[in-house]
Parts: sequence; structure tokens; C-alpha cells
Amino acid sequence: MDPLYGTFHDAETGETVTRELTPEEIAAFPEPSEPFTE
Amino acid sequence: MAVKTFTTGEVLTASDTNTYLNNGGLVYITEATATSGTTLSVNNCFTSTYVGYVLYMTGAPTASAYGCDLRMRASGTDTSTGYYYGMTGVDISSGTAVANRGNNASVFATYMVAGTAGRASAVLQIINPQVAQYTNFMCQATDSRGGSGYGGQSTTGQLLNTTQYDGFSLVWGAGGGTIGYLNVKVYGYRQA
Repeated sequence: MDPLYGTFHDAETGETVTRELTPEEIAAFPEPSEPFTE
Repeated sequence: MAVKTFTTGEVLTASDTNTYLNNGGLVYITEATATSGTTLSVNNCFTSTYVGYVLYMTGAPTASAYGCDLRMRASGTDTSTGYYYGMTGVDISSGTAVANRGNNASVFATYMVAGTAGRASAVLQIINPQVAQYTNFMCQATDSRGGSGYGGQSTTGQLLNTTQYDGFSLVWGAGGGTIGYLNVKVYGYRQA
């Protein structure tokens, strides 16, 4: 499985980082939704 | 911050000009953009300076059509339970009313729906994120699927806890979709 990434922006510092999600963050994901019909 | 009333003949200083130009009714706080990945998280945007906030969002996933979902965030951790909301709209193809709801859901669903054809947008008002009360959501959104999509999506709801939140995360399809583009701007409603 390819690693999952997230973009994290801090409003206090203005800094934005893109990093791999931790196992804890991935485990906390809700059940993914089915796509809508196009 | 109280509004200052200038009197005739009073000197308008650069300091006062900058202060009051930057503190209108709706005050810009921050902006964030993601062009890949699964989540876009914004930290430290909700403070005790404001009670009400507005998020302007626009974007699309990379493939397939998904709705954009939000979770509130405190100290870098998303809350994934306790979202109660109702959505109304119109199925553009049939013209019939559409209703959906979240009952102790894991996200607040904005029903900003975008597919591969183009981006959708949403305006989401969040009241009390940093107050030790329920957080309230009021959202209007568009759907970029044209004749196979929704129109008039209006979703309101609450997060039923008294946690004081300082940020939020956005995902497509509760994480089922990948971000093609997602931009969010955050504003606060100026207090007295």
C-alpha cells in the first residue's frame, strides 16, 4: 500500500508542511465513503 | 476590538489606518492549499479572539466524485465522532428533493461535491469552535457534476461535545478520495 500523505498548515506561524501520515492518524480515519455517481 | 470614531479635524495616523483596515467585520486569518495527498489540516486558526468563523473552500479530488468532509481538530488530533447534521438539496436530473443526515457521524459532511470535470465550492460558518460549548456548523455548497449532481445543498449541524477546538481537517469522501486541489480561507467575525 502506498504511503498516505497530509498537508498541515499552522495559522500561527504560516508554515505549511506535507508529510506522511502516522499509523495513529491513519487508524483514526473514518470509514471511507463510496464515490458519488458522475 | 471596538470601532474608533474619528472626529472632524482629527489626525488619521498610519497606525490607526492600518489597524482599522485590518479589522473590518470579517477578518482574514489564514489560507491553506493542498494539491495532493489525503488530508488538509489547519492548526491554530480558531482562537478566543472570535466566536464565529467562516471558511471558504474550493477544490476537487483526483478521480471519481466525492464530497468534502470536515473534522474538528484540537492540539493536532481530529475528533472522529459526535457529528449530527441534516442536509437538503435537489437532485438536478430528476428535480426531486434530496435529504441526508449524519447521526453521531465521524465527520461533518459539507456536501461540496466535485468530480473529475471541475471544482466545487462551499461556504461554511463555524460558531463556537473555541468556546466550551457545542460547535455549530452552517454550510452551503455546490456540486460540479452538472446534470448528475445536486443543487442547493444546505447542511447544518453540531458537534455534540464541549471541546475547545483550534483547527480542522478536510478530506474527500471521508478519506476515500485523494486531493487534486483543495484551498480553504479562514475568516473571523469581528467582535465588538
